[in-house]
Amino acid sequence: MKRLGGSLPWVVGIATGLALGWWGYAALVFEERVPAVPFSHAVHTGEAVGMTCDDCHRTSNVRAISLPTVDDCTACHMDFPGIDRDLEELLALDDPWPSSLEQPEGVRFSHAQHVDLAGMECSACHGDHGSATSARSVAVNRISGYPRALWGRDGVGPVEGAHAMEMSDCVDCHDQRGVVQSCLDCHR
Amino acid sequence: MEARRHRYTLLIDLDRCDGCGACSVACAIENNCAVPPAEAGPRKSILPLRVDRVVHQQGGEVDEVFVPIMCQHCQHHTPCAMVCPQTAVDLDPETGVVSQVVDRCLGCRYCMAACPYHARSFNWWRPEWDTSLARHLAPDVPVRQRGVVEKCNLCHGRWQRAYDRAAEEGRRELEPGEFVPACGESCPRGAIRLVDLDDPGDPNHGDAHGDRAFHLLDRLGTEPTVTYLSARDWVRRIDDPACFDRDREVSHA
Amino acid sequence: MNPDVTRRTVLKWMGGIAAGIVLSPAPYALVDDLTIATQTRGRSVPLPTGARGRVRTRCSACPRGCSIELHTVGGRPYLAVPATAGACSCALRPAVHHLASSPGRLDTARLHGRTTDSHEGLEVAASWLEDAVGKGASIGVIDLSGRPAIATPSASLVARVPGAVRIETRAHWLDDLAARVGLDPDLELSIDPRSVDDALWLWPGRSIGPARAIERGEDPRAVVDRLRAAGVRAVLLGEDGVGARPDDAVLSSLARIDVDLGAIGSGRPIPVRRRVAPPANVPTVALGDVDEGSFDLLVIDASRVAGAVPWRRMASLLRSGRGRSIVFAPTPGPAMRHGDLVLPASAPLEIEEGVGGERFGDAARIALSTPVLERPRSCVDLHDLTRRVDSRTPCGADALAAALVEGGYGRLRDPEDRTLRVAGLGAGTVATELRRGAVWEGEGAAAGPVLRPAPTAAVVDDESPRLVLEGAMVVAAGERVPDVLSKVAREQPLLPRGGRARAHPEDLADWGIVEGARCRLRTSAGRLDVVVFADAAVRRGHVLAGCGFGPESFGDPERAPEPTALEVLDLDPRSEAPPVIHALEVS
Repeated sequence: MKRLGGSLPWVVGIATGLALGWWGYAALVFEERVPAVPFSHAVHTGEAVGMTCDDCHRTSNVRAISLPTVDDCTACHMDFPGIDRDLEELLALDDPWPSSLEQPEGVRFSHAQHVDLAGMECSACHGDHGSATSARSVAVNRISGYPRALWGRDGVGPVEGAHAMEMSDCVDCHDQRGVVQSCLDCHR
Repeated sequence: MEARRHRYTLLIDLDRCDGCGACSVACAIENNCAVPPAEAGPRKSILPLRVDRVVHQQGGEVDEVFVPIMCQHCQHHTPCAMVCPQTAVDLDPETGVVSQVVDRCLGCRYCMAACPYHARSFNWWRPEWDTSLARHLAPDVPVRQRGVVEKCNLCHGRWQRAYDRAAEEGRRELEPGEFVPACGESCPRGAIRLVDLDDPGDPNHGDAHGDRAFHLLDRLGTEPTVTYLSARDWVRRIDDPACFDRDREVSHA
Repeated sequence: MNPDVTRRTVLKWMGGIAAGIVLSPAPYALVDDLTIATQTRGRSVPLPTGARGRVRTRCSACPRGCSIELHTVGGRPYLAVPATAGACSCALRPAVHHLASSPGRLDTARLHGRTTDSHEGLEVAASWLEDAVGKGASIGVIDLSGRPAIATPSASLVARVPGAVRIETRAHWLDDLAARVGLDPDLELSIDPRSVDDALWLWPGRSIGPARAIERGEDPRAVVDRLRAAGVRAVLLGEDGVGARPDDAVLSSLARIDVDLGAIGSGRPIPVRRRVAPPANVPTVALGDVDEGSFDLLVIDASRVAGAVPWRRMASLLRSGRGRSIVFAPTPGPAMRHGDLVLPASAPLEIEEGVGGERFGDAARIALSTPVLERPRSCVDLHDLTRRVDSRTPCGADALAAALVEGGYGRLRDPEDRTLRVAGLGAGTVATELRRGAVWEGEGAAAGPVLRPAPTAAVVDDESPRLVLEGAMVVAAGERVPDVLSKVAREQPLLPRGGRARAHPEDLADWGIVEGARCRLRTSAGRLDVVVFADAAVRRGHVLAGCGFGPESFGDPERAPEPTALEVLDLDPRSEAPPVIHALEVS
């Protein structure tokens, strides 16, 4: 060929554009937030230690998220392998445990209703998080400020790992279990 | 394992209300309604609960009544729900509360036109608080943005908290008095109470279905649940146009 | 093989990229993200988080001091609800946590310009008084409350303090007008305000009926001409606050109107009363008769003034340089310049759990921006708020008197063993707390002569720790009673005649009063004939009489003010209860 003619540039261009839009945008707009502490759930829930979810996570008197405090950690041990700095200092940082499930302010979730009343298992929504060997980094949308799990699938499937927590996920589960719902059950 | 169905609503004793307006202010505080700019009049303010005043003159007798008016939580062919293009209004069959989810509202104000009680307010301006006031917001109701309609949601934030606390104790049902809307809690005369119209065991159930009970604009067929009480005949007919005469004066008190 | 990449190729490629991007989810995701960002980041303020709590304290919007319960989140208050039944019927109260910390409010004492705790301030004041008494110094007390028919609290202070003299001021605008129309300035004129059609009733800052037009900006002359054409005569009633004056234009217009003492339009007689003289055992001088430097200690009670305080008139006295001055004021400002010790009109909102003293912006707007109140949508500053204070509620100099009499401040210890300090106000609240089981711990014993009845005399019953209050603490915003304005400053509609009072049904049974019986309620504020009804929402031992006592309800001005009593006119013959019930709390 003497020159690139015909539709080849178009095709190449379209393919490039699609790739840019599909993956490139996601790569640009989501930033990874790494937890301050390299915590291994697997070590704590494994046979050696044998803890369960509610040893550190609470379901009552919290709005939605119950993350452990320093006291929960130091209740058992003072040495923290893999951490150079003081644990308290680390936990005092801005957003030490980024959560992929943090809901907007207008949404209300009650662990008490789901765990205490409905008797759900933690893994029903959070997956088998207990066997995770490291604390997950969270992809947060730079523009909207929300985690990827709430808004923004990457086009090739749901976010890997724990269940995404979009409204449709909640609604689907409610539908499956026949729980009647109205807007104000969850929206403030 | 389903909880019993309720029809929560307000029971307002017009023979007790003295029009002090504390309910209206408490509602505005609980719902984080901002102070509008100076040019807003009563019609453009955000008042989920307002107090109307009706003066009645007959012969030499003069009497007046103060009527707190908020969303009446219509149960049948709820006018605002029927016209909303965004399905932002929802009648909850479990609680009987008509809810307005401001996050879905696009501000067409069709619901405001449809509401026979003018119980809905529109955010004509962006709600703003100076930095000091902003630190004293109530924690249950997120602030709104400009361009959305809002109304009384029967203090759903308080209701959610009450349900959560009950859930922590393994209960599905609330004790009487566990859920109190801000207006009821704030009324110094005890004129506003919460009642579950479908629960015969509710302490206010008798009053709500008694002789003094009436609803506003019953004849429209929308089944408003908010129940007013008065022993005075003329008060029970304040929504009857046949009783209007030029001696009557209705004003926003 | 080297393909020849032309500009066209590049353009096609770029066009393809653009098409590819458009076909990909990216642009729509971008729009979505931006929409979300504007919606959520556009929210101006986040909600507070933290533990919820409830704290009981006293409202400080006015000196009545109603018991309130504050909802708190993270230690910060966000809503105030009534803590007792039958109390605080006021629309300001839900937002009082804003008012209490408004920067316009004086909430701590200032001693020689230095900020100090208000309790310490009152104790300093008490010590100055004791010091002056001990040296036989001359003490002057100026009460600016301007309601001579009410037992003046400054009189009670004067009665307790040997060597003290009450300095009387007058509504000088009324003096001016009286001079212009040739009235005897000692006459207090009142009209029957029940009929608004043929009367013009003015008092500073407020008006009803046709005179409202003047307030709204209509030319007063035009309004007055209209009235005169209708055959109306105008009579002025001197009410609120010394020094408060209506617009000069109104004043001069009215001065041209004839004052007819005998009749007004319809021919009804106008009751004319003399200004009530202070109790005979209280030495009194007029402000105009006092020279600079006359007093070693000057006490000025401006705590309940509705309207402007005539600081300039008193400045010469205050600057006498010979002695000290104690000023009770609701706001700082001129008081600070003139007073050595400036004390707040009422105690600050005391919140036990670590919150308080934080300043807000113009927070009064929240409470007053509902159309329920008279001035919707306007930012009402705190000074204007003080107009709405019920001037018959004790505070200020009464607090000082209490401090002196009791030898300091008593403290209430409630059953949960929290200490609630009583800063000489909110006696109704004190009584409420006692009924809930708190115990009054007075320090020191009563000393000196006590003017009977002292408006805030806290007579502790030695038999059991009860607080018996004598004197009326009439507050407003209850039931509408003719002739009297609500504290929330809405106009009074015309209501059926006769006051109504409410009491707890068990009290009525104890007192032998049949519901519907006519009674005469006597207080130091005046008397009111009422019909009594049962209302279980009213506290025990408490009579809720609505908005207070209209001008025609004043008792015989020549007699000393009376203790609170309910005299049953329609006696139940079957009852052996006495016809007069004392030791009531009236609101």
